[in-house]
Amino acid sequence: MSGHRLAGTTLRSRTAAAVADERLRANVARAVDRFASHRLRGLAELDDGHGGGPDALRRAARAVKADVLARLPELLERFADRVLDLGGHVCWAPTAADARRYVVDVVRSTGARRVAKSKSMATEEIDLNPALEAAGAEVVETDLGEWIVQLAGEAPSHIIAPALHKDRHQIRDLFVDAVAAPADLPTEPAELVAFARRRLRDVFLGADVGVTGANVAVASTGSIVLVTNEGNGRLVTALPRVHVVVLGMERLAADWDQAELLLALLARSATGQRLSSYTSVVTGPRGPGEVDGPEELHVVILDNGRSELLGGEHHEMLACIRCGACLNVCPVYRQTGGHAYGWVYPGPMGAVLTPLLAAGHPEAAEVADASTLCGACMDACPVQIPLQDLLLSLRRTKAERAGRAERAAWRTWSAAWSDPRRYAATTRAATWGRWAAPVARHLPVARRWASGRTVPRPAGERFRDRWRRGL
Amino acid sequence: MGGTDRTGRGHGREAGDRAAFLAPARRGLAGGIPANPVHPPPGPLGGAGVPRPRYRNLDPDDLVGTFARSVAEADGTCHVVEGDVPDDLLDRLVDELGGRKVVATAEPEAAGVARRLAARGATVEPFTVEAAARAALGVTGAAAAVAATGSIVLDSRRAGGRTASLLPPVHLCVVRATALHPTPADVLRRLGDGGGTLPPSLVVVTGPSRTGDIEQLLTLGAHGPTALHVVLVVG
Amino acid sequence: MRVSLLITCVADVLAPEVGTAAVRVLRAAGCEVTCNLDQTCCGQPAWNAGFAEDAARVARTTLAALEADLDAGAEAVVVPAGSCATMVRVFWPELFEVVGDHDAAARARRVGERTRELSELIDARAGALPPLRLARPLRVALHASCHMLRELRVAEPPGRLAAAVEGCEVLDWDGADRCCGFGGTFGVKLPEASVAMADEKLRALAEGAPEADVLVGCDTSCLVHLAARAEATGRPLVVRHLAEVLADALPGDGERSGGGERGS
Repeated sequence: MSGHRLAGTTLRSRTAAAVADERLRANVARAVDRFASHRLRGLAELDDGHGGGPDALRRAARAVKADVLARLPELLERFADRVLDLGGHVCWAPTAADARRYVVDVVRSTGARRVAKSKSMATEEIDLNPALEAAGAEVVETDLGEWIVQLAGEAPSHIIAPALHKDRHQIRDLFVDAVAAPADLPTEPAELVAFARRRLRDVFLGADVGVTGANVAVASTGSIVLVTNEGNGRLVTALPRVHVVVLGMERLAADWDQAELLLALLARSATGQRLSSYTSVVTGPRGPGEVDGPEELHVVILDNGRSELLGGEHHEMLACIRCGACLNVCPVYRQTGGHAYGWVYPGPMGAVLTPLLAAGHPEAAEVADASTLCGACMDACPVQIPLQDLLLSLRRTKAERAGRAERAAWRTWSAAWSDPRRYAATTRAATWGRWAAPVARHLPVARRWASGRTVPRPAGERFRDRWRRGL
Repeated sequence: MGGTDRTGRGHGREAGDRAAFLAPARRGLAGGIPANPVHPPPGPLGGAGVPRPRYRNLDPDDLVGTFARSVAEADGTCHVVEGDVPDDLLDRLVDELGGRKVVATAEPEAAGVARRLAARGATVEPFTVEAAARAALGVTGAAAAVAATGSIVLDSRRAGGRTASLLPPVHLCVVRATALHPTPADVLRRLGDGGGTLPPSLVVVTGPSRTGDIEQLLTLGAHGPTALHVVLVVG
Repeated sequence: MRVSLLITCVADVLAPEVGTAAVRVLRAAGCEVTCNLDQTCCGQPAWNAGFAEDAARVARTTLAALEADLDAGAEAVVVPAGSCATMVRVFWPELFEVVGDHDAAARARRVGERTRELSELIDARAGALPPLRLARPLRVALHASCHMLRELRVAEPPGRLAAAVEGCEVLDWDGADRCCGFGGTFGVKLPEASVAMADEKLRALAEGAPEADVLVGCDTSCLVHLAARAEATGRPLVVRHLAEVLADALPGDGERSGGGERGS
């Protein structure tokens, strides 16, 4: 089910609705606080061998991703050639529609009835599930959080903890309503997990096709790396006869030196663990003498707007390794959760990616406003993406298409305040008093400020008046 | 598909137009990449290449001790033993089976344990998916172990598959101290680009299966094993 | 040392006492203070909203004013606001490059290199200050503002300066470095989220430092935002700029404290 809410809403309407939900805010705050403190503890254990601490490794990781992106076409070719050599199939998918069509064809040609998925933001991005369902397949998300939001008909609200906006009571009620869990199912997390485990175990054993994303793809060996804690990623790549990977074209590492550094930072940045429970390296389909594993491996390499960023102002956004650290430290995300961002990717990385990758939606551009530019995101980012600069750049693009009224307002302001005498005139208390009151009544800006805050009163005498008089 | 046998090995098929796919990327990169002026990127990695992370919790003079601590910190149970898996551990595991079955891979470390479990009355089945799905205990070896993270490294080629360590609720892994390495880099960088070929599935396992998806509270045993016993055999 | 004061439009209009206090503290630290009244605003509101041309138009005026002071012998530009100091030092060169004004960008780089946030400059000259003592003891909770912390990397000076004042007790509290939710145009574009962020900050303050007499920061805009929210919810909050606390503690100044309290 597609949970996109861009059309027919505004960023303000979505954030206002989220902020009004006290339970949601409490759930989100509790979760991100845990993630953020675990991240600090996990990273503190790392060093570059020269006393540079985790920051030196983050700098190195930024350089690694810069290297990958600078030679991305060459690395993609090497990666694809390795996959083909190993007997895997490769699909080059310039658009979301191309990727959907290929995966649907694979599912149809295998006669699959049931598709088991391991959480993948790339498949969310291309709306894969509705396409597979339309083709007659039953699609089951197997990551617990992703299964919860699938049952609720929602989109994930966090890229690594999709159901973080729900508490145990909401999840229990959902299980009772959606999948006929016993009404007396306890709300203890262990009980809820055990229920999901029993239900999903049958899904794994009966699935014909497994669909995953990829955390890293390694060009030198043609490997796909999947990082999971639950083990669903392992099951999805072990039991179904066919494994389909949807790989964002930027998620490469040239070799294992690069991949290993990225993986060392990924788990710690995401959950604070030294490594997630399972770091799975998939290199080709099932081998001789193996009792499980997919007989067919398909890797769909997805562009969907990414190549347009290469070499441009937003180039560095392609370095993102999808750890979620920026969400966990973002003061805006903390208040709103993920759904307010309106599309697939929330938080600071989502505020950048949504205008870029959902450019077809006219409502996507304003998502770049969902930030105070506090800079906490770049500080937490394991590959040091300058998210605040990318947001500013997106706002400039948006301003070029702004309405006449907004442009005129800034024009009037800049005309006055670029002239010291007119600045002085507009800020004189008497003048201020004359224009501030009517403005406050009519201008949306002032009304918006005044919703929930008092309007500051200008001092009777400005600093410049005091200075002129002599201090 | 595509003239491959059941193992899927052979040359894969390519769909879509590779050159057309890559053309926009090539065009985008052709003009160079503007460096961010406000928060400038670091220079390219120097001659030393990609730095290897150092782990402050790693005692290079005591890999075994570091490993045992790290396994425990990842919610696994580590048994450091001389010679072989101790009788009392096997007795306890058989007790916990409550009559349910065991699956064991054909790896040398696992086979020995399997025989001793069978001698205690457990029903030990050779590794098939069906056997793994029935079993209450999965016994495997490991290709390597990592001290700094408390990880074991499972190799599908060596184990003959993936699910013996995954479907049963308890996983017993036996690994020799000679296969113990200090950090993940020592395993991944060596296995990955060291000239050999990677197995179809290599999994770095760090603790039992877990989820934090309900209120970010740790719950063990989400889809994989609830308990992980690692026996590190020294000497 | 002669310094040029960039007073900032917010302090000029809404909190002139911050400027007065800054001048007194700077003088006590041995600085000769000039203030070129041809300055207006750093252009940050328009820059953050994406209107680079308008931001540059305003910033050019202030750039010229600061440059004139530097040319006339000032050694540094001092700004009693972390956010505006960031605009000048970090974003001006980029702003002028973006609008294609390379000449202004080069001049902005020169000015930026010599621009200091107030507490940063005072901290570096703390040895020149006379002993600071407050007549009445004051328990202070500090607000660490985002741009100071993460763009200027000025983290320690405010706390160090406040703690060095006799009679001033600096309280530790969780959430001191969390964004207040002002964010310039953010505060009016997404007012509900902005207010929610202020509420959480205020709640953290009430829980983490309930005994605080005053919330002290180095960015008047953050303080105004928090005070305006606190007042609207009927729980007024006393906020003061660090410069005011330091000025109150200058020798012979025991009776002048409290003159510039806002939001109470």
